[in-house]
Amino acid sequence: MPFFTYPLAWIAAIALPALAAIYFLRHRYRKQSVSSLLLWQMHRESREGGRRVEKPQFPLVFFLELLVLALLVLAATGPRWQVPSTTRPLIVVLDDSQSMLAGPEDSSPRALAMAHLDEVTQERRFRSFQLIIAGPTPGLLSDRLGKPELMMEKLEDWSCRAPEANLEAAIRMARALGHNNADILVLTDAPPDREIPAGRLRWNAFGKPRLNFGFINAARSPHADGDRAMLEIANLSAQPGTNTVKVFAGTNLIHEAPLNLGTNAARKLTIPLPAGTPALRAELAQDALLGDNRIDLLPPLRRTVRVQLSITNSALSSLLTDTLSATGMRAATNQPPELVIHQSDNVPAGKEAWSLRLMPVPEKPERYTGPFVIDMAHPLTRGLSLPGIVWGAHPGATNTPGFLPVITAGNIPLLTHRTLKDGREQLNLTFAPEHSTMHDTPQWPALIWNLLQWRTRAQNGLTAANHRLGLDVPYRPAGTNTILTLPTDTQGELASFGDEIRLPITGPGVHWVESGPATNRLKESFAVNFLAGAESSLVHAETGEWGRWGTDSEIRFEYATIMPYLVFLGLMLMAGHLYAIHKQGGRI
Amino acid sequence: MPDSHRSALQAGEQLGLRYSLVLPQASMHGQRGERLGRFSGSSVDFQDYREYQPGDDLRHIDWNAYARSNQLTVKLFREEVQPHLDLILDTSRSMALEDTAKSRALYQLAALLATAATNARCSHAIWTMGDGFQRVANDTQPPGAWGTIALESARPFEEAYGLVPPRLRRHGIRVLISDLLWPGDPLPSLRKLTQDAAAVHVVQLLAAADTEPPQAGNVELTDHETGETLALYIDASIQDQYRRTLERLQQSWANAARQTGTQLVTLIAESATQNLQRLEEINLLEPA
Repeated sequence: MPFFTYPLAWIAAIALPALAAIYFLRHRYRKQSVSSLLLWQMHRESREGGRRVEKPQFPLVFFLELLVLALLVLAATGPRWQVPSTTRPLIVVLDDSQSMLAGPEDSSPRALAMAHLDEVTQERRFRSFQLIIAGPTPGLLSDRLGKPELMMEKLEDWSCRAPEANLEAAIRMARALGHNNADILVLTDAPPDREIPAGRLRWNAFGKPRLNFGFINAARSPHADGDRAMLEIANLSAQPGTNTVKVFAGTNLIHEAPLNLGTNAARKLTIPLPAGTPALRAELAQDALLGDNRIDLLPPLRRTVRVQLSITNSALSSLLTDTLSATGMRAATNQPPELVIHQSDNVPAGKEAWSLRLMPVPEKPERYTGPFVIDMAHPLTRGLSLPGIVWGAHPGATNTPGFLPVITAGNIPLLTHRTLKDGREQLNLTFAPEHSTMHDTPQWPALIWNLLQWRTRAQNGLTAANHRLGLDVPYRPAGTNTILTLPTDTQGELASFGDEIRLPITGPGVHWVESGPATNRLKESFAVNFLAGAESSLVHAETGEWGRWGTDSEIRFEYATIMPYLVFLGLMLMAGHLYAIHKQGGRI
Repeated sequence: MPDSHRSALQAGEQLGLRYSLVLPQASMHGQRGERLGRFSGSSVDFQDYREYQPGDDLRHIDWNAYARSNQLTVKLFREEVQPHLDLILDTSRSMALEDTAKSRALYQLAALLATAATNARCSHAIWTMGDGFQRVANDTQPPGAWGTIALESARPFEEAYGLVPPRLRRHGIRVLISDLLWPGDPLPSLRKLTQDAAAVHVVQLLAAADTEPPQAGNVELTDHETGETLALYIDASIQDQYRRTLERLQQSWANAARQTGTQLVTLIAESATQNLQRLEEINLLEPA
């Protein structure tokens, strides 16, 4: 109903008070003294003049005229009414990223978006309502709801704690759910990166370019005898600004630095940490977005692998011993091995023992210089590059049945792999160090490091102590009864299916996870940090509306004009007006 | 008495010097006075002879005639009477209607008639309406010496007459000055006035505003006498009806006057002094 936004309607509406003024002035009475009212008693006999004045005196015809005028004014604005049969479902895509919480709580993009959604549901009717939350992966926040009030209640679950918002995926999901027939409303804080044509999508942004500093990278890694922490802080706002970073080790302030950065400028801090340094906490002063102002960095996990070397070739044994030592991941223990490097044809015993068999090589092996074919998806080949390498191998080597090639020189398998039924991994390596140059390059320790790293990932527990919010936190339970403790001290038991699970992390902070039997329970802590520079950035935050629901032709079909009804009603009232005047003998 | 009223009385007195009250024959009867009456009396003017009847004054027997005719004959003389004017003023509030010359005309006419009566060697009494009829202080004196005549009575004529009726002189001349705007049949009122009266004159004194209804539109009318209000929408038809009602009222008074032998005349206050010939037409005044 565009009446109140139609300037001409307001001008025409002046006729209404004008009519009232005419009646008011017409029925205004003047006072006059007379000698006696004796001569005025005849009004009882008259049905016309002399009728007693009733104050305020607005006869029926006045209201009829007023109504007719109002109807005509309304009809002149060309009002259209939404046809109930043409209502569509409404699917709302909610940006769940943290940037929706920027600014004061009552004027954050989230609060403004909720208010706007309330207005939309009041202005327009929809057949049903559904909410889609747009985090890294889209998800349903509600089933189809019949009433807008129920939808508004569901909005309380819109937490805006995700490190990113995949709006495009959420829109695709909304289109699929709505069968391309639903009106889709995107509520976010930034403009779309493409033009939105008229159709079924409307994009509303409620962002404002506020000042915001945030951590965009943080890591803590082993370094020499201790650790080294690396922090990267950026000014993620449209104007230059200042801030201060403070780093605490436990409760001790170990570093403080002022920051004066321009738009999108970043500062890197590298802080060496002596051995035994507890958890680090880095903080920035309060600004528009609170979620990116704090990180926690726990000491990195130092996983080791129990390796048994069963090599008869002394040169090769020495090479492997030195390489394993160089990784720093070999455990010196008498416990049953987790990795056996051997030359025999027998599969090593032990339920945890992986094997790397060095295949026999003839005295005069072939020296392959390529082309090497590498399965880059394999854990062993991470960062591996072999051009220029001379790899000595058996010229007649063939692929052992059941093994899959990882590295080949043409059709000659150099490194193959299979997984045994009990989950252990078995590798066959054809390698003649005397006829190769690979062990003289960084590719050799990289290959061995990848092997040990792969093995550590198969160990129970966490793979890393510090994680980025939004990325998977893999965990291998040490048994059943896996319990996750959130930073809010809320505990939840996790169902364990398979060897490895993904911990359900929804927010930043230090978490605890434990599993295994009571006698040998594995309990570890890990930190999750909000490190999403793109999401923390308020540079492109903007308020606006893009796209609209329905093309002009659709709107013509969806909204029927009610002008004829108003005119007809006006004519009926005018006929009634004439009848009323006729009944009063022609006077008003 | 306000100066405006006093000046009206003086103006009326000045006008009255030019007129004399017309004395009807019927009024030549009553108290002994300066005017020759219609009947026999004790003046020195011989009137007639008649046969002696028991009870006649023996001093009026004409003994010479008795000597000639041997019949007791009484000598009759003209009587000397004092004609009297009872001037009854409608002193209801309606006679002081705002923005009209009604009250001034009332005072002028009262003073004029009183002066004309004096010119006709006729005594007079001025009666006002209030909680009954009362005489105006010093009303036998010239108008300039009269007491206050307050126009503030809220009682209609009949009601005031019922409380304390005026002691009207028998065979006197009675003049009522009023707008006659009170409810009820005028005949009983006139019968009271004409009882034992030599002549009764009714001067209906209306303001011009009384004769013409207000202009069309919404009007809140206030009864100046009772304070009652009436809000009306006035148009041409109601204006016509008002005029017809006034005409019917005047007609009813005219009929009653005809039945009681009363002379009725209507004067408009704003032009009353210019239309004094109307009073001559009803034989109330004559040039002095």
